[in-house]
Amino acid sequence: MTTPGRRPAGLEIDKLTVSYGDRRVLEGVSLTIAPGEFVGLVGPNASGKSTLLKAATRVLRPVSGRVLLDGQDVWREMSLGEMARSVAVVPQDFPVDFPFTVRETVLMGRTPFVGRLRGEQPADLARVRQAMESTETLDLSDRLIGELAGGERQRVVLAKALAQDPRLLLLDEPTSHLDLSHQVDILDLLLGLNRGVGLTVVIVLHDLNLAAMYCDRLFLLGGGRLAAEGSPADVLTPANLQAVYGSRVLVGRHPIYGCPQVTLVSRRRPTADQGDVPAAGEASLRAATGAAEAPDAGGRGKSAPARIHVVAGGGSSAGLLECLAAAGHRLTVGPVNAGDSDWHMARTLGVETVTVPPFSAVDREAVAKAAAAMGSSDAVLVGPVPFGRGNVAVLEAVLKAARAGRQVALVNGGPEEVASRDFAEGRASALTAELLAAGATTLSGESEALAWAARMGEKR
Amino acid sequence: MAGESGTQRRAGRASTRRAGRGVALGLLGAALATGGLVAVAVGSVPLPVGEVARILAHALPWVGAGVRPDWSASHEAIVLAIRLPRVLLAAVVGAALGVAGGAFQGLFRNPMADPYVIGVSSGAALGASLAIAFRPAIGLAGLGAVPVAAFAGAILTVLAVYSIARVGREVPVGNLLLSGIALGSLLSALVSVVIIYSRTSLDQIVFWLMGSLAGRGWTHLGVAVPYLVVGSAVLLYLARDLNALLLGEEEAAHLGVAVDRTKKIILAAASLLTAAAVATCGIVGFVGLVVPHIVRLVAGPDHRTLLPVSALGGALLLVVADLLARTAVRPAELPVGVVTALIGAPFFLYLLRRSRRGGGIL
Repeated sequence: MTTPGRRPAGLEIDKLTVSYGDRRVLEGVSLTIAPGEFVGLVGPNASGKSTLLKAATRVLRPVSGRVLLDGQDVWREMSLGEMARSVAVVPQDFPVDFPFTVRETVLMGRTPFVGRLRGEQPADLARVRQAMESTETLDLSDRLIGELAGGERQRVVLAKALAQDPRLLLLDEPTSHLDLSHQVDILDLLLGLNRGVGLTVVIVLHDLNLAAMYCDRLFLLGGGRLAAEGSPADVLTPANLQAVYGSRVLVGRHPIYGCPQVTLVSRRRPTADQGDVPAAGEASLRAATGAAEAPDAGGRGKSAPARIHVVAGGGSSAGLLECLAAAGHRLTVGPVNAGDSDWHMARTLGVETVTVPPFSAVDREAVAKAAAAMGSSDAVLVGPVPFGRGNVAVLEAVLKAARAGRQVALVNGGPEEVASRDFAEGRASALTAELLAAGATTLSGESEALAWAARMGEKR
Repeated sequence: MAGESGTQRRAGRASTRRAGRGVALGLLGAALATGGLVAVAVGSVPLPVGEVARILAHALPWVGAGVRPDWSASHEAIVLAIRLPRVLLAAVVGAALGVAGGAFQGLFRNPMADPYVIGVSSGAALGASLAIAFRPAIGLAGLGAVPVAAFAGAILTVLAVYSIARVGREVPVGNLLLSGIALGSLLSALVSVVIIYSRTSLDQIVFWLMGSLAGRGWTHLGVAVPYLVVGSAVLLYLARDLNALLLGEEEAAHLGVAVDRTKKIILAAASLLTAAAVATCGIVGFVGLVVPHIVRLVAGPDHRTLLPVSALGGALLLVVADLLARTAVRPAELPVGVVTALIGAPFFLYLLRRSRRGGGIL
């Protein structure tokens, strides 16, 4: 959209501090955006994303720090008019109280270029037409802005911003009120502009998955500070997100683009597929907190990873798997039924898994495979799995491994706890007792499991 | 079927609007000239419109030399000294109220705003009623105590509202609106007190409160016109900025408008405009509220069209209303504010009903 000769602009934020009254909302944030980049600002509510945009566009005066547009200080060296001829902003909400037509609205984008008493020139009208063509809003020209649906309206607001002939386009959650297909429409449009003419795009996004899909680089803000920056894969790690959002997430890969995709995890909903499994959700939550506090959480640069085989199933161990994987341990899992939430988690984490068909008993072959996996591990961890006749054979394999000198630990492996999930007529309890006698330890939860796993790693 | 007519209506909207400005200005200009001529001709002594036209033409420089006077001196005096200044004042004040109303509605992004929204009228009312009740021996520029006191009251009130609403260097419009309403109520209560304690002046005060052009002449016109012309010119000059402000103050800043400074200039210009109008004619209601509304329905919300068309529309409405005010119940005179409400309100309600299906009043 940028007319030839309109060079995309770079933006530099230098130690920017902004307050609302006494409340600091941005604290010494510095970041650099090169001309032609497509970058996203992400972070929780009140992390300072929108404030950063406001300070950068001269709506909110910073307490200290500088905002440089192509090296020029926007607060000290540029007039509002000069700003408006280089930078366009797409706000989160666009007022529709007054009955402007779509064309009149887009035409307002020319305000910084149009002389007060001269009115719009043919070149301005041509520019408006071009902006409307590229946003496919030409057909809406004579509609009132208030009559439009959300997606249409946002395209019009974008057309207005493009009519402003920007060298830098800033967008504040432009897709937050749109449904899925319109979100993709708007972002595809922006990506086209960015790739086509190199327009610099800075977008505040709530949706981390959209941010990962579209942005070259991300800046993660938390509590008014820059928490992380870099490629989506570098920024959207479970550890970063946990630290900033304070909630547990899983990070998988987009099946087509391979960019990170974030999945939320409930604090309340039991992770089990069966309702009668003991409060796995609570356990996961505790573990998550433990993982976030553990040094080096996130798995990068972990000094002592262990190879651990995890006996999971019945949705009992999803949290366990995630913590261990996040801490950098190399896992194998199984046997689990396909479709089980432990199975989903293992797949999300990219862990090698011994799988049996949904709702069927564990067969000999699966037990053998699991035993082989245990054999090539440093240690075996048994999750708080409910055992029935279908899967109790796995415990026998674990016992063999223990007797062969393999380190074994059981999560919630106390006699009463095991009895409560023993649906194999006492067989699971008996095997557990034998395991403990053979030197297996019992762990009370996921944070203990993490500590145990770390010891296993050190032993290697 | 319904969709089709909807599309046609929409397709019509842009062309109507594009043509709207020129056509509206032309039609309203012609209507205003005709209405003015008729207003000068009609009165206790009816005069032929042709004669009025010739008297007016004769009074003009250059053109006037070509017109041979064939009318009585008394007719000339009625036209030039009595009726013409009153009609002109009606036109100028009507225009001012139309422009100020449009500007305040835009600035406040609120269609219920009118020229009196930040307390101009109540301040002027208190000033005027005190002047009427106590008859102080003040005067300025040939004007009596009432307009001078009304003007002073209006300006002082606006300044008070402004300083109450101000937060640091900014003036949030919500604050202005609320402090305007609150201070307005206080001053209106004081006006009531003045009325109660000065029964003798009751009629006069009430008449002033409802707005009147009775007895206004060239002196009033001469004093008010500079304010009205300069204020209107400033607001017309800022029409583009008012458009941007309609999108919100942040959005306006993104379009390069220096929001705080522009707001202050618009406030000052619109307040002076209104104060001058109120000081000379009392509180003429409805023009400033309804005219910009009607114009917006026809020509859209673009202030570059809205303000000039509202000026002509306001002028026309007040000229016609004043004509009715002084002729409808002869020999008595109605307050012109009563007439503007009587004409304006039903017309407005009619438009409101009609436009509801077409996408809202605004």
